[in-house]
Amino acid sequence: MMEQESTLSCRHLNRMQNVMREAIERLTENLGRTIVGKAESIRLVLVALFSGGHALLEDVPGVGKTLLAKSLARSIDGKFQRIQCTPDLLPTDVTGTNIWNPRSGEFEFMPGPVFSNVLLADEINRATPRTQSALLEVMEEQQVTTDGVSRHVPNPFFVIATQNPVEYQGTFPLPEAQMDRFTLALSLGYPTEIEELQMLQRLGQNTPPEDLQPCLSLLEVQQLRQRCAQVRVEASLQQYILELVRATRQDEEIVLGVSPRGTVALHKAVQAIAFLEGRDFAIPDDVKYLAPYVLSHRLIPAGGRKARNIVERILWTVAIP
Amino acid sequence: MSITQVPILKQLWQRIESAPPLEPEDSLLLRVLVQGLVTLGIIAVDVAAVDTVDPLGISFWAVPVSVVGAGWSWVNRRKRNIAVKFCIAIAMLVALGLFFVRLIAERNDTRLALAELLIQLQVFHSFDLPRRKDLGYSIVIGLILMGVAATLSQTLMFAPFLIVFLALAIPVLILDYRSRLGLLPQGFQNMGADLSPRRLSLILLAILAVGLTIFAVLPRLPGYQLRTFPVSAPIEFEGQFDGDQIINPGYVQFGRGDGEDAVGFGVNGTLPGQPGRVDPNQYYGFNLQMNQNLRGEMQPRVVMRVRSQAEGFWRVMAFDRYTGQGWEVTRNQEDDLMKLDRPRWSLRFNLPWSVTLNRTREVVQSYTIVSDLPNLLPALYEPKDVYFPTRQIVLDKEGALRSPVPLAEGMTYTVVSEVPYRDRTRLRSAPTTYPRYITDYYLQIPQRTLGRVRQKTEAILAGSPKVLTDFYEQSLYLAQYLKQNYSIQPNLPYLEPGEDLVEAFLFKYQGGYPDHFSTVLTVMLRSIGIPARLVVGYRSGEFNPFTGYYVVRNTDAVALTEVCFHKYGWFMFNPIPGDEVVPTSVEESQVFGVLRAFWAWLAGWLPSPMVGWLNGVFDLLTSAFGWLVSRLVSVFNWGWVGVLLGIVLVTALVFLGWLLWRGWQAWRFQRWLARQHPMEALYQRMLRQLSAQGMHKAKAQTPLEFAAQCRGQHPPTQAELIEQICSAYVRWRYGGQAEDWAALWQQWRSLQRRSWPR
Repeated sequence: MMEQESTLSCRHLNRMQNVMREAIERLTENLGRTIVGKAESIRLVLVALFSGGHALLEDVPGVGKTLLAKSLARSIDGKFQRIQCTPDLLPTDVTGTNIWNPRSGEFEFMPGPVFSNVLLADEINRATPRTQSALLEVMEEQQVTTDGVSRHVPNPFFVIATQNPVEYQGTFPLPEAQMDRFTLALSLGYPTEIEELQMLQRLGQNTPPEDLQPCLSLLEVQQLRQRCAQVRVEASLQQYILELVRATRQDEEIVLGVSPRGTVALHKAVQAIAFLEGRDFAIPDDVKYLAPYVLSHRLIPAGGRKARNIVERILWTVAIP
Repeated sequence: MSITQVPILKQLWQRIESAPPLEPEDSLLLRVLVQGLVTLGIIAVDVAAVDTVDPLGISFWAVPVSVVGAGWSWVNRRKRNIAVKFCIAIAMLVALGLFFVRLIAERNDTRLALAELLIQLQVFHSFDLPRRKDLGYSIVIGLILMGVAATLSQTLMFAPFLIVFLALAIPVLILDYRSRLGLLPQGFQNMGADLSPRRLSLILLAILAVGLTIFAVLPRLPGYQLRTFPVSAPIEFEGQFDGDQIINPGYVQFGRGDGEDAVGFGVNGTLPGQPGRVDPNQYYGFNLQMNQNLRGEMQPRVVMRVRSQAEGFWRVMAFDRYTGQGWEVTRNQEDDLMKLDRPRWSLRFNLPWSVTLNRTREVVQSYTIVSDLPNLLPALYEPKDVYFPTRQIVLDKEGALRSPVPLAEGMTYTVVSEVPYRDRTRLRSAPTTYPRYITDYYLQIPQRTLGRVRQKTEAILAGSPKVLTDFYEQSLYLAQYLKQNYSIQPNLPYLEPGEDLVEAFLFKYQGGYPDHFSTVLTVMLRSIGIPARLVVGYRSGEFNPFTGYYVVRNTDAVALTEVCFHKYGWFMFNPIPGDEVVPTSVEESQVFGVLRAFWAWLAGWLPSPMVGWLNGVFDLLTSAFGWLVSRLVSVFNWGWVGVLLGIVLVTALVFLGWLLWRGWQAWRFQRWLARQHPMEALYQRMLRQLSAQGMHKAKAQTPLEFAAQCRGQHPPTQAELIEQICSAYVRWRYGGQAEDWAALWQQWRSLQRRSWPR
């Protein structure tokens, strides 16, 4: 009897897992209909989404960041909002504010763009530190507090922030403590020649994001997040993650190493990518693949060195368990 | 205007004000362990100091006060404690001042003064230990105190302290490291696997093993010591010191062993042939006259500990005149004694030392007296510098060093000697004609004895298979002859009045007491014209490989024969049965001598059959190695063909060694694999085989990365199998999934058979 029950529950789990994986495949396919190439970037953004974090895109304008965010929101049947960050943007423009309603004779809360499922904070480093921290607080707390009243933002709440890595004039670079809030930092980069040609050829028959059919519900996104959190990370692999993080704290070329929050982020991201890869367990390759995206933006290199190169070097010195 | 309004000070003040508060160390466990380290260091210094000076007794106040201080510091760790800081600073300055005063007053041994200063500073500082760096300072103080204790210690009493210190230091280092990372919990919370007793014990054992190995193989190179040597505090001798008296606490007059009220001043021996009993504690030979008509034996007890760069005979004094039943020092007048003074600011005496054609080696020896001894300074022959606490010492004609005061328990002094190498070839070629100042004193024999003894000596030499022409070979042969043909007689009766000791030994009793052998050899050598004298001193004693000290007992005192080789100096011969005929000298002292001494010490504990077996194995290995080397060398002597053959043989031997090494590694690997899961074993086997083919897996490379790397470098079938095995391994290792390792193993074996060499 017990054996039968166990076999049944096992079958049920496998079925559930297959359903979830099919949904992810559909999602990836859907995004691919609007965005040419960029499969890896799409995968990394999904890692950030399913690990419960947020993504920072460090990219030049015009490479498809908005398109990616819009398509993602549409694909998960979520509400999309965009903030174009400028120095005159106020915190209340982001979070929302109470407005006097003469008809009802009461203050009414006007929700800001953070009350959405996918929020694109474009050129976040152009907003003032005050506005940046208001947004970053929502990212961490998943709630907005106005005049003593706390309001939860919708679940899932996923922020894709962008910043231009070339032009720094008139910007307010994100301090390390705030960079730490982003699970991943990546760059879409320019498309390859073939991809760009493909883009031109599709111009006429291009599918706008608004026309995309949702392939996942918001509830399914929440379930997928839970599934990711259940992915097995073997103890020695957790130790490997710790050794990598500790190596950044002891490296002579690094002024400030990765924080414990970074350790947790890497762990969650590794679980998410393992799930996206169709596994219920993580492997060292997952850690090595994600470490540059998860760790590089969290550390301060010494003497003008590139954080990414340092992380790559550390990955080639720490032994695999 | 307030002082904080001054621009620079204002800026500084603002910076201080805006600085974040420093985090106090909240881990009670770390604090308790650090306090343990410091306490141990203090007690260790106290205990170790007992070996050299009177007990300091500093632990009695320092330990409880520092514990109180540490407790107070824990309670007030979040406060600024400015007043306390000032008080501590003042107290520390006072301690420093007292230290300087003591340093000037006691130039002899600064280690204790330094240790006391460190303890005082630590006790004061224990009242202000808010942060980790303050605890770090305490850890370093604890370490320095252990270092001081190590230099003071002369017994194995220090060993338990060292082990406990290590056992405490390991968790302290772990906790300190975790504290730096900010991972240390408050109070006594459980630290889990980091501080598991099993893990700590393993680390401790590993450290001890490595430490002992390094200690054993550490080369003992001469000259590694600093030129500040251990010496007791200066002694101001009140009174007239002529140096013509020897104060032996065991002998009063007439050589009797009265012992208890032993206050004699070397006037014993006025009746040298008087029968008597030896003193149970003091050696009868340390006198101006040596009565060899005493019977009995001494009760063994430790008299001194010697730290020396080389083993040797700790020579005390020598006699020039044979009386028939003993010996005496004839040249003991004021003109015969060289009085040496040292400057007030230094503890060093410069001694005149003989010019010799021989090569010599400098040997530093530090002596610590454990029980009262006569006012004679044991030293390796020939001393050139003596670091001694009194202002004056005397050097007599026989090379003995005399102090104004007896060597009291706890006294420490150092001697630097130039010890001659015993080059047999050179000594054989030494001139056989001697100047008057040698022949006048060292060829003397009573006339009534001379004839019979000379006849006997010449008969013995005539019996030698080879004709012995030089003095060295004759001395050696005679010593060997006495050793082999005469025996020790423990129940030797007293000599009758007027009876000659040498004649009784040679013709009546066929032996005698051990010292009698040396007397007989000395007289026999004199009878054939070889200048010789009787020398007394201590054998090197028992070497303790852990402390590095030679432990010398009163029963190690012995008389030997010293023979003069003109232009080369005096060399000893030992005719006593059971001893080496040539006493230990600097030749035997080797760079890795401690390893041998350690084996000798270990062998003393093992049952003799096992020692014999081990010695047999070592001898076999050594002789096999020697045989091999000698064969190789002989092959090289055959000309060009020999050289070629030799090179081939060496190469073949190296190859054989390499094969053996590989075989050993393969055997160990197989044993290790046998303990692993089959999947792990398969994966490791594959890695090893691929490594042998030049495909090494880097440590930071994942199995799948490795498989991808192999893809381009192996045929598709092999690459596919490698990938399958790597994937299966990853699934098993990180996913906990059961894999069909048997099938993979079969595939691997069949592929091996088909395409890869085994």
